[in-house]
Amino acid sequence: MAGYFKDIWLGVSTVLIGMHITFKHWFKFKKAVTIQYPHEILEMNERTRAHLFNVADECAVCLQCARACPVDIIDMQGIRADKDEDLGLLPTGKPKRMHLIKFDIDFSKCVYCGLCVEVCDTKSLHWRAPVEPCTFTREEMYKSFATIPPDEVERLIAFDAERKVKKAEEMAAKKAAAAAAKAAKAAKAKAEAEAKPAEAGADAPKAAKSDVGEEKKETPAASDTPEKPGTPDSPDAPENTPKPEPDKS
Amino acid sequence: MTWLDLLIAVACVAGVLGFISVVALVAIWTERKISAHIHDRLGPMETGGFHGWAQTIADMVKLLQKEDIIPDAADKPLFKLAPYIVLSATIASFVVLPFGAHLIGTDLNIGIYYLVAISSLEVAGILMAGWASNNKWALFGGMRSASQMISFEIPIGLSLLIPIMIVGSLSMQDLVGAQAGGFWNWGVFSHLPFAMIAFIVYFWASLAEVNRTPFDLPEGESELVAGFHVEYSGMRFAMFFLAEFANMFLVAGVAVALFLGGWHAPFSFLEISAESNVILHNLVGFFWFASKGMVLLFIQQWLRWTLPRLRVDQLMHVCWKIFLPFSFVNVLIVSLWIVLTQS
Amino acid sequence: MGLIEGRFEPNIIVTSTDAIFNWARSRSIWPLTFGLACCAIEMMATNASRFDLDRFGIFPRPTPRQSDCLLISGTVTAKMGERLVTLYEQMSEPRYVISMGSCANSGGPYCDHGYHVIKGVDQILPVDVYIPGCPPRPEALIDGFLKLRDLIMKETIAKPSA
Ligand code: SF4
Ligand code: SF4
Ligand code: SF4
Repeated sequence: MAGYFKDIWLGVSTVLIGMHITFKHWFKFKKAVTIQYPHEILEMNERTRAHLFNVADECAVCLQCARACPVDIIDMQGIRADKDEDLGLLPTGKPKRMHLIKFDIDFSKCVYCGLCVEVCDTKSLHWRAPVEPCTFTREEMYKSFATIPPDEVERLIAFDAERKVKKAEEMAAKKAAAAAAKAAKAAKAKAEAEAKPAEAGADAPKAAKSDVGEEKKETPAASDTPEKPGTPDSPDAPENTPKPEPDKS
Repeated sequence: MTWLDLLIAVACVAGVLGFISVVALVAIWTERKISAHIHDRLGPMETGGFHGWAQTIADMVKLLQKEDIIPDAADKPLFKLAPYIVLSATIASFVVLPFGAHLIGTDLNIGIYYLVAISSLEVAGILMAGWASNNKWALFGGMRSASQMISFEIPIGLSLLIPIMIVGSLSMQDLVGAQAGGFWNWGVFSHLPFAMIAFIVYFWASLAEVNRTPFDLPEGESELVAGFHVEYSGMRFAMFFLAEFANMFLVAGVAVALFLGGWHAPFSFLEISAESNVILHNLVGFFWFASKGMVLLFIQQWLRWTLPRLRVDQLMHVCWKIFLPFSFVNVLIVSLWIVLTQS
Repeated sequence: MGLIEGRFEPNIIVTSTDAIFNWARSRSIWPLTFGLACCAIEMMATNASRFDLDRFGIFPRPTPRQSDCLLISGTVTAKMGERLVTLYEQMSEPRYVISMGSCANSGGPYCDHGYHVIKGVDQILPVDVYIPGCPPRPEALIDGFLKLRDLIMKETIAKPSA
């Protein structure tokens, strides 16, 4: 019997305790925590992954982000600028040497992992506040960040193709010249060897060594030129980036 | 029956219907606001400007134009009929609720008896809805509703007997009239503490009667999707919704009429006597009745956002093992008291 | 379709009814209580105190019959796709679909290799609003609902002009 009344007392008192607690909240002894979103915007942390944005002018087109993306949705393409073209400086302090002609992200697939932002050296790819805008169609989520107008892009592509053809011709010419020089050298060496058979053992390796040394000298020289893309730690340049031209040094 | 009688009847029903709609609109809005503030939220804020006052209106207009789905497998006549039965039972019970000295549909001499009888007609509607939907969740909801309403009728009836015994009448106006002259004359404070216990038992049991938390098992969202109205959409659902909130006010109104002085003010100087101005007398009475009802409505909502839902066995335990013995002992003591003091 | 849609020529009465109805519809979007994957957690967070969808009159209904909006919050597997379609069919007109998160938009992280994931819920349901994000922040979800509101405001009950 005592247990019965104790139970009732427990029920009544706990209900009253609960009502006391809710009453305190009801009458604002604790303030409402609601952020009225469209009218007031919650301050977000710097690294809040909400809205991805790329500033085309600051992008070095190093392809790091495209390679980091786990879902492979960054579709980008760059064209190397002409030698005497000035594209301004990158945030890293290096001059920008690539035209960004295409930088598309399909936000319907993006998982907002932030890996692309982590690897971006120039911080051109960054998070913005507050959030990615919603869309009525799936196509609208496919966003393009390149700012170059289409006719300019066409011109650049044509220019690049032309340059490639030219370069190929140059390369071919150089190859032919090199081959001719080699042949001449070989002929000369043969003649010398024939002339001085006693000295042959010491001379031939020396010639080879000097060749290698020359090539080694050429490569660092080429990477110092502004022709190389902004970030030095990119081993693979975009496919249409011209190889350092040996005749520059 | 003359034309005038018919006209009065129609006006009465229209008035009740209008009152129910307004009460439901206000109650749903306050419910959302109260729940929000108890959660440290804000609740409706955007619709209609000031604190979302038009939220319920938007909800109702939207429900009005929603598609009215009648499932293929449903028992169609019953399915269509059920919301009307629930709503008309509610409206019919409002007819004997005394809003003011003359603001009462009809002052039956068995008013409270009629009210208890008619309001339990609702069970039929709910059971009908549950059965006709041909949906197991709806059926479960309907069954639970029926079982809990029928069980809680008994403590409700027994605790309503206390003021009836004290006053000695079943007419609502007699019951209210006996509590005139200040709050110390109200039903709750007579025969202390027994009328008080009766009031508390009635209030809690009435929560079960109108399927409110902590006794909202018939709609238990986590178990039964939405209970008996799971298959209802659009206007028919709006009727259940309306009936639910109107019923909340109904049970609050009965509590007010029987225990809290009805349309009498807490102090007699806050009233305007019937001799000086009948209309004002009624309006002030209506004000007191409605505000007392609203306070009880708030308490119901406050309880709803405080307590979790009970289990079915706990519900039955509360009814049969706690409310019922208390009410019986109460009735016994009060009747002894009355017999002893009268002789 | 509801009772009165597509029966009348556009005229002054219809347009003012439109205004009221669209106002009511757009202010009272009840989504179905239905969460699929991690995005559902963010949906709950949006319903909770900090962002409080109830401010816009958006509160979840447990049954599809009474809800206006199917919020697809998460990964839709091929198996769940069928259930989703069932739920959508159970909803009463007018009904809307919001696709929340990359998984629902296009398969998201599973878009290339998820053999079991529907690559975009728009393949099985008519989506009205897409919310990008993984998961979308509560702000984005609110934006999505506001966008849906704009969409509803453009509706009319008049007969489509032939
Ligand atoms: S945030 Fe999006 S675009 Fe960037 S790496 Fe992750 S998935 Fe790719
Ligand atoms: S990592 Fe940054 S700089 Fe490099 S391509 Fe991507 S956005 Fe441009
Ligand atoms: S979009 Fe991202 S957060 Fe949402 S369900 Fe898919 S994986 Fe989870």
